[in-house]
Amino acid sequence: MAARKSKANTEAYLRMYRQMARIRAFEDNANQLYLSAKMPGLTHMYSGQEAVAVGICEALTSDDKITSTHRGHGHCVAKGAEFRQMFCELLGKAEGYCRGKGGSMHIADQANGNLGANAIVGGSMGIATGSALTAKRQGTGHVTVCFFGDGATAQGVWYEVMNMAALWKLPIIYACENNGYSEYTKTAEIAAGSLTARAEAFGIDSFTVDGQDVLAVNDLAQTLVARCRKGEGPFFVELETYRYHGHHVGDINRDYYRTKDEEADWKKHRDPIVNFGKWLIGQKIVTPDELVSMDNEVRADAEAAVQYALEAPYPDVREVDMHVFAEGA
Amino acid sequence: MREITLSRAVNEAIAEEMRRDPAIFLIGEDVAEAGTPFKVLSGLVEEFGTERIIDTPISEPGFMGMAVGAAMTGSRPIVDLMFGDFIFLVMDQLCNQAAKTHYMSGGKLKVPLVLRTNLGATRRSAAQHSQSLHALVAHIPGLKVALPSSAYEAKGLLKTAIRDDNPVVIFEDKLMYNDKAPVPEEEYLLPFGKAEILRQGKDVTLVGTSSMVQVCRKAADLLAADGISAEVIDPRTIVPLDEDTIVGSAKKTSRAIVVDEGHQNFGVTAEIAARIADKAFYYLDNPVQRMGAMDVPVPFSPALEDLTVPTPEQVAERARRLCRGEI
Amino acid sequence: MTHEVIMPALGMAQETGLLLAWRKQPGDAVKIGDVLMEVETDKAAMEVEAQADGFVTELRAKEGEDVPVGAVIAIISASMDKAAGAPTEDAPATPAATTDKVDDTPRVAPTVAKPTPQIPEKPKDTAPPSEGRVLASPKAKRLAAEQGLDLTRLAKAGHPQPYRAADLDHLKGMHASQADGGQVGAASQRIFARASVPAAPFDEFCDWLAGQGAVAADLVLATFAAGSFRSATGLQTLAVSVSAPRKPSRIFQDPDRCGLLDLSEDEDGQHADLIVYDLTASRLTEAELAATHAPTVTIARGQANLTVSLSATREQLDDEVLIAMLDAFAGRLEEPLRQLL
Repeated sequence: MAARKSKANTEAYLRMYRQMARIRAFEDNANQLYLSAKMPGLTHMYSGQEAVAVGICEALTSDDKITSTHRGHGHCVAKGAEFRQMFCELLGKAEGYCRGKGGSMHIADQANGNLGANAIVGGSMGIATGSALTAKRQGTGHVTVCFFGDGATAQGVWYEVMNMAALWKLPIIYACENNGYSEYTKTAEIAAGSLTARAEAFGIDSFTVDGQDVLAVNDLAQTLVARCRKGEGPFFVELETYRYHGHHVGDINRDYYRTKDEEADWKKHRDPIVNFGKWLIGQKIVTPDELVSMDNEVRADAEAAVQYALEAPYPDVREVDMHVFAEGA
Repeated sequence: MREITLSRAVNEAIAEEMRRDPAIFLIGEDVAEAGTPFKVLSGLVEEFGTERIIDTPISEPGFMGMAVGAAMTGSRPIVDLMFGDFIFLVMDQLCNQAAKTHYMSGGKLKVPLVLRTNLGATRRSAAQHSQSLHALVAHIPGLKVALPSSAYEAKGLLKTAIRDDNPVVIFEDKLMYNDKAPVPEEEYLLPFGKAEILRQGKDVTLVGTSSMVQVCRKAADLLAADGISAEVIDPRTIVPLDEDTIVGSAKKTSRAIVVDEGHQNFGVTAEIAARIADKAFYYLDNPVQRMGAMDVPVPFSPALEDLTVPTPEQVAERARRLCRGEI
Repeated sequence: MTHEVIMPALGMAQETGLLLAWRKQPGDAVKIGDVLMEVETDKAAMEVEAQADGFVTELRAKEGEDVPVGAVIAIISASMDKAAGAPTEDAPATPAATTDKVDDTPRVAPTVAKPTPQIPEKPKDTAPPSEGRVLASPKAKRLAAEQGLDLTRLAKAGHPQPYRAADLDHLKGMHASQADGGQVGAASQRIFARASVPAAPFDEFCDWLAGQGAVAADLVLATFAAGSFRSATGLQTLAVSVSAPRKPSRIFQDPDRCGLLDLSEDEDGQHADLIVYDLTASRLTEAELAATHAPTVTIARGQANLTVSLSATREQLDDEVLIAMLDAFAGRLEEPLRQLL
């Protein structure tokens, strides 16, 4: 853990821990909702990757933008979303962030700068770069972070928009969460050469960071966001991380692409929440009891939100053809 | 009234709107100094600079996707897609992203962008530079589709498109860029979803879109010489579609022919004909006729290419046969 | 504290799961992550792990059973206090959390009442289902129904199909004898009367009128019929349809209220209160025409007489009015000059 301890930092550390715990609690509940057939559709768990979303989003303001992915609950929570509206969206309820029209794979929370999850792998790369183009043209000073997985590096559109972002010095950070697997396939089998070298080929400063170390991620993000605001973007960051679940809930028998030993090893030795908690205790920033009570509080919040969402009404059927087109000009 | 080319009308529309609203920028391949291969945009970069008339690499999915993101964050981009055929390259950005964002976000996000492109065969450009693909995007909920048929419509519809808060795809007929038509000096906008009845008639309704509007008007002239009175309707936009005007005319004349330069199979002619059949069924004295482009890739040879697009003579002959009760 | 083990939703469109085997038995201790059972879905067999620590205290589903997703199939308890047991015949897997109505929870979007497009009202089909279908345009069928015309008559007469609106004029002009059994509106009871008058007064009157200006005999008939009909019924406004063989039918509004020389056709007229068939110029000597949508007067020429008949349905006229009308009409034909008074 590369970190400094100060009063101001203490609050930031606790907030990072809490946000990671909130993501984990959200995902555990979402997983149960799905398995118990209370949740329609399909969903992809972010568990294990919490340090990436939290480390980066804690370096952003709510005016800064992010684009997210099909594995997007973590980004959404990290960018400031509320449990209730998120669970309502997962269950297709009227109070969801998208009034039940988007679901797990399309949650958008524009009030917090989340331009939306995207169910097309690589589908948000253009959107994120366009958001950075607006920021540059209008001089807003906002930074956009484009989250995507290692699988999306195989999409051609990334190279098109990186080229333009580099040509026009756009304030964007391409954040590749390399969790080692492109759906059901090892990343090594789908990616030739080095990912950072690909971005470097466009003259983009590129970094690799331990995606399980929230402080390392946050330190790098703080630096790059500041540089973006000074007009030194774009940047590329490869975050080495791990997803605890299968590609989607229900991807249970995955021995053919990864071993249970490997999964157990990551969970035991490299869990971002456990390790950060140990560090906080070691630094005497927090006591073990305080952490437990924070965990319990977060879990109770999540369960209350689930209960609320289960009881919440579905949208009125009259909403089905609402919002196809925006009104007015 | 002064007459200007369709190309000039488009240029004026963009310039007027960009002067009005600094959030508007134009992005595409060779749009700045080159002013596009058709020289439609010449002069704009001199007035607005390269910050607002943005040349891109040849990366259609990339700049289309960027336009979507820019539109979601407070910009109002106009995307220039050099040929309508390249729309296949931007389908994910246009149909999966732009078209669905407002709906999927429960109305929270808006995508006010215009995709300007073109259609039309008989430029001897063969199968990848001659297609009329507007039916493809008209099929996708969330996209509006405008089909101007003259300089007057090109300007008025484009200005409306730029002010719309939704993604709008506007197809210009690339064979008409140099055609002149009366266009007022003063500002005007043309509403979407309002068809124009270009000629009144009582025996048969000819619904023509874009390039086929002129074909229908010429066919109506030929028919008049035979004592057949044809009503000619230009829908101007196919999404939204002015169903009332089209159906009302078909009810009046009891006969309708729909003419469009897109391929006939599963195309715009099919959709409009079906609506007429649905809503005017008990007023029809003959089956509704569809005349689209032949269902073949557009051939290069002039001897072949000219066979693929409906002509005024063909439309008139179909109308005569309808009125004689041969169909 | 107990944990309900449910049949998990593993596939993308899975409604049930086949329980292949239990890997734990009642009484066994389990830990999170232990394989609890094997389940087969639409895709493949899978090992399903326990989601709670404790002891298996109850198995509610049998191996080989196809269990709905969400159903409780086992119980894991923190201690072994609860009675353990294997599944029995009378203890089938039950849906979990009945208050949540698992079965009602949509895995796809809830069924939605789709806005239905407006469909034009279909006119009443009046063609009898006799010998096969008659091919006609939707417009021709609609107009025929509105005007009480029977398209099967055209078919029986050998008129080529399909029929369009223009063919209706031909139908209207067809004589009754061609329309063998082609009654329309058999459901309504028809009433009928006939009279015979000398032709000479009417013919002389027409000749005299011809000298004053060009008025066709059929319009004189329409005017007389309208006046008679009005006096019998007391109607304020009156539209009369005039038909003759090989001529398109025309509609006149209140022909008896304007001068004979001022008659003009109502070109937009659709509806007629009275139909006048003039067969005097044809070879027919007698006809009974029965259009259903309005009372119908028919005038045919015999040797030295005119035969006039009036038919209607009971809904249109009662007996008294029918007789009064025909009597008045016959009277006007006998003394046409009275019409001018």
